[in-house]
Amino acid sequence: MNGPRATDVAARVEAFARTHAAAEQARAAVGEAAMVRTFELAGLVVRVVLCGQPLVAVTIPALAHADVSGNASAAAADLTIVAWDARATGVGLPPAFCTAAEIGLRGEIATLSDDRFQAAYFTQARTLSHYDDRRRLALLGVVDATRLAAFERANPFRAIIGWFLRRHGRVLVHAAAVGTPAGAIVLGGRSGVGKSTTALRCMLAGLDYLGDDVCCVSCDPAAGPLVHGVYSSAKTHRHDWATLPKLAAFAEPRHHAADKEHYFLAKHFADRLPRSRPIRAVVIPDHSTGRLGFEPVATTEAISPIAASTTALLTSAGGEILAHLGAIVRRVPCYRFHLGSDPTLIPGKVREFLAARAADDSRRAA
Amino acid sequence: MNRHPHYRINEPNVVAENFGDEIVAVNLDTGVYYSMNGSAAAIWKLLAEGHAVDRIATAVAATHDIAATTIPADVVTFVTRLADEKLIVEAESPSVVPSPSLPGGERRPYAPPSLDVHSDMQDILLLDPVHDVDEAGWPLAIDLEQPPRVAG
Repeated sequence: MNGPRATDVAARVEAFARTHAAAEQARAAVGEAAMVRTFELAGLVVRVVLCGQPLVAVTIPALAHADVSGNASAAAADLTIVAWDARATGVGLPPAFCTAAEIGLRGEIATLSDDRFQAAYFTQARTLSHYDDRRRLALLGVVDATRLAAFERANPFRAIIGWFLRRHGRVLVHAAAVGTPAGAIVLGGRSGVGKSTTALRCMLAGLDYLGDDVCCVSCDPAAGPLVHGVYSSAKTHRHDWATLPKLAAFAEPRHHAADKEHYFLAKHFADRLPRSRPIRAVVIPDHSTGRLGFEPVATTEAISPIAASTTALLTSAGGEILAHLGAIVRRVPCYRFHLGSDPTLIPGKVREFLAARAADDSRRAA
Repeated sequence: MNRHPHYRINEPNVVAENFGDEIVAVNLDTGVYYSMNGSAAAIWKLLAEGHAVDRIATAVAATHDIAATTIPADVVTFVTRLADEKLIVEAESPSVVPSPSLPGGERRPYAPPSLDVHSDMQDILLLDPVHDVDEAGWPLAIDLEQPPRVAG
């Protein structure tokens, strides 16, 4: 592949400098009122500087399980994110660097992205994300945080976190994950297949929860395949309360008529939100058969919907998603999870399955 | 026109991964994704190695249990389909292409190559049209009250 032309490099440096100048102006505008929080995400330390009170409510709750602000490990950050709310600080986004046509389907601005920089603009949310890998610095400009939809509140900084994790050998994937201390299953599949409701049902029954929509996976040579909980948020349709009535008590206020019901679990279930778990299987839920149990399936049957929805949803996701998933399923098996006709039996079946899988893995390792 | 053209995977718009005997490919421009196995996966791997279509047909015939007369037409039809889906694009003939690597052992049963197409992610990618820009020049969606359509 040809490298970028010198003029392109200069344009990317200049664009980041403009976003940085706006972020610093906003930081100066709020002074000591800027909120600083530190999170540990997938084993990496991320410091967040929030300029503008409305940002607190739309970013902190989904990351609260990973807040290590009071710990000594918070001293050295692998990434600093400076975020500002234009309406609250009076500092607008920098003048546009590109035309609407140059913004990709997933928000990416390809003309400003290379091995060092990444940039994305989400038109619906009106947010500008900008990342400089060399400086370990990311910037997020939000036109009006009070208008962000539930999806943005449930997955704050997702473009930036996705870029950052990828640089460190981890990838965000469109999947749910639940488990026990023995390990976790990663639940993939197309929208509506039952990922969120299965994950929440297991969490309410006492299992570990690592995400219902977006989680992080890695395949360290020593530690093996791991799933990391990045967001402790969850979303369901209101009609899901019919079979999960406990959830209604934990729903957050909705901000858009079309929003799903959403939940911030760290407030209520902090003891069920581990940072990471070994992956024991990749699983596709299936509620069509009426049977309850796990059935081995071909790798592609489990992986292709995860890979496709991840590459479709997550900014700048590409071949590395498939490569990571490939590395994982060479180490762990894939199953179809027949959800049965009595959903109350699902958590017990998951516990039983994970115990058996962990025992199998131990026998193989011995 | 080159009677036996070469193709290449349409990178970076298309990403693909080999999962054993199966291939998953995603067209990042459209959100459509594809799976291939059997003879289709074998053809994909040979295309990715840079082999011309006629050599691919010969290699497929050498490794599958069928009269070779039907295979060349199947391969051409399948390659045309891949090109129609913009998964591959015609490429310059490479200066050096090694002979196709053929697996040993018994010939495998042959079924014509097929492409499984999954387009369920497309509606997520079809964002509302942009019709204006804000005061800083950033695009505005038509209805800001509508949250983004996302998977759940």
